[in-house]
Amino acid sequence: MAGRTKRLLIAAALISTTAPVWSPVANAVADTATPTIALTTNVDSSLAPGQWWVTFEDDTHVQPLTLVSGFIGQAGPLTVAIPQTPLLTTSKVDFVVFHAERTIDSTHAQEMTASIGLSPSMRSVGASYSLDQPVVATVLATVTYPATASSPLPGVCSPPPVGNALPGSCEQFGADGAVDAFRGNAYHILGTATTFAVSYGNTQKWDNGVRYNATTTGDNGSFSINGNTSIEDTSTGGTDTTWPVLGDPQWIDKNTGAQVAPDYCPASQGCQYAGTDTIHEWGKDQWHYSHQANTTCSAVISPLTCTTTYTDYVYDTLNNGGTEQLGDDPSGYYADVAQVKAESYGHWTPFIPGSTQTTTETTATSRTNSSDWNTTYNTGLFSGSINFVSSMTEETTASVKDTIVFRALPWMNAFYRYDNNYDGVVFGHDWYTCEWAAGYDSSPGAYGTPPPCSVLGQ
Amino acid sequence: MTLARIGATVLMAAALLTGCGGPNPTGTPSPTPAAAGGLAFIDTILVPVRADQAATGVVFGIRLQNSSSHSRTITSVQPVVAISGVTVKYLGYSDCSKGCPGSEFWTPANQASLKGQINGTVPLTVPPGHVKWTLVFLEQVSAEVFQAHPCASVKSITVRTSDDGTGTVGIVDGSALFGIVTNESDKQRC
Repeated sequence: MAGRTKRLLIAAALISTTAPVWSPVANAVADTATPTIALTTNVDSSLAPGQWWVTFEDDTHVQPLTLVSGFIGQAGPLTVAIPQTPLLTTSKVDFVVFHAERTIDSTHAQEMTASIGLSPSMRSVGASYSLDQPVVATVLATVTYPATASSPLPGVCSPPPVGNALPGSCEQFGADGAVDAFRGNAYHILGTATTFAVSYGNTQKWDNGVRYNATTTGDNGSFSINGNTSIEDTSTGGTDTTWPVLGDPQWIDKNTGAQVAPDYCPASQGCQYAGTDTIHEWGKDQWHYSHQANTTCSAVISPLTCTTTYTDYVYDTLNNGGTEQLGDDPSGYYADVAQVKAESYGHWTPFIPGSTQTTTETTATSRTNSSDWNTTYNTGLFSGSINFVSSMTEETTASVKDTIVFRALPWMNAFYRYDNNYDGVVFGHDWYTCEWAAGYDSSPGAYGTPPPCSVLGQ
Repeated sequence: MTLARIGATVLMAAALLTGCGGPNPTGTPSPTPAAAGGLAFIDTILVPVRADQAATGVVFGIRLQNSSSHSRTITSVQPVVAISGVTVKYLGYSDCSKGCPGSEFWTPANQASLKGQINGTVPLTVPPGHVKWTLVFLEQVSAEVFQAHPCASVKSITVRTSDDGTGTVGIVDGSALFGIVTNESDKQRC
């Protein structure tokens, strides 16, 4: 919802800079020439077959109103005729949003949206308005998806196969599109598995000594006894835990509780692990990145001119043990892959798919206890003392071993791991993303039909 | 296991580059115990690759820990290579502020990135308790050798320190530090 609001705000900003000045209500004239607004969009092949609908949103309606709908039979240009209604000519701030959706299964669908802000000419096709200057427009609002304007491009990557979808999005970076990257669900995405183990050992050493000195008053004793005993006891123990991955069957939708398909987690809602161990909360952590293009076209000047604004969104849902934090973090703390490649942010570590990294960290503590008793006595004839000394030294060594397996999957070129607590804390959140392998064949029949990048997770 | 024992284990670790598990009969230097005292690598990375990728080379980054109570200054780093056809080169150290080498192919693009990530080579001062330095190595295995040695892992590194001389540094549990393997099953046996 935050992203949607943000998108609308951006669209509003575009309106203010690209649309002509207008007085919407007082100067509105009923459309008499053309009864419809033509909205043309280029449907990506991944959305076919699917369905589309166009909604209208303004400040006076809480819920968007569906204007028209239909089915997507094949990829390519799709022209939608939007009926001209009094609503369109009287609303003050309005947007037409084009939706296209492809069904994955009975509970999951992927949706793309493209929105445009309606200029007065768009809202009343063919009509003449008395604004600051007369406007006579032939309206053709073109929303191109994916955008094909200047670099960098929001590209169409090769996302995961159907039925094996990952929450997240793709990005294509660079003038030559050299970097195709997938931004996946954080804590663990498909393709990583972590085994975490803690072991410890205790060593106890006792030094027991007893000394007996018998003395006559004023003289050294005739004998003495000294001795000690060393006892070393080493015990080991620990825990071995395999963290859940999205491939586990026990992930459920965070909101509905419904079991999600293996390896599928709707990024906009989140999943949690339904297992019985104590780590299920981690499954709520999410990290989603999207690169969006917003295109508006102005019909004021012929030929038609369009403006595309690119916006990066980072959706960050963390669970810190009960208090969830939700918000955008555009500051770059969770840098995107493009920034990583540009060496803008540290603590990212690339790994070749198939790599296994094991980190072992050892800590040690030492504790010493001791006691000392002294007894003196004097019988008159004899005087003496007994001194008993006991000391115990306990050393505890804890070894923490964390093994991460970056599973080799056919569409991955590289993994990137972000160590969120690189500077000292052993147990922290790691964030992962991966890079698409060049030349990955995502053709139907092999790994399914790839959906477009920004569809995922929205 | 006490720290002293861990230290002893590290110090006794032979500087080996082996096939899967076998000791190196020729390449073990005579360590000076105090040299590597407190120094240990805490990362192990194994990567299954194809023969042509092994020849191209894989870059490994492994973190170094100083568990001693005083600083160590490393003046030289020398991977010990016992198998002909396998080359291991120390590229330098990184503080990971501009990205941290983990495992990546020795491609021109990655080489360009590594230039910005590596802070230097030697001398390298490791403060007590320090775990931030990542040492970066390049391993290249010829295709012929790659077929014969499915697990060309490097198990320890010879270092020279300014104060104590020469010693070896390995992983605390004696497992492989890094290496190229032929496939997933080989990785399990390293």
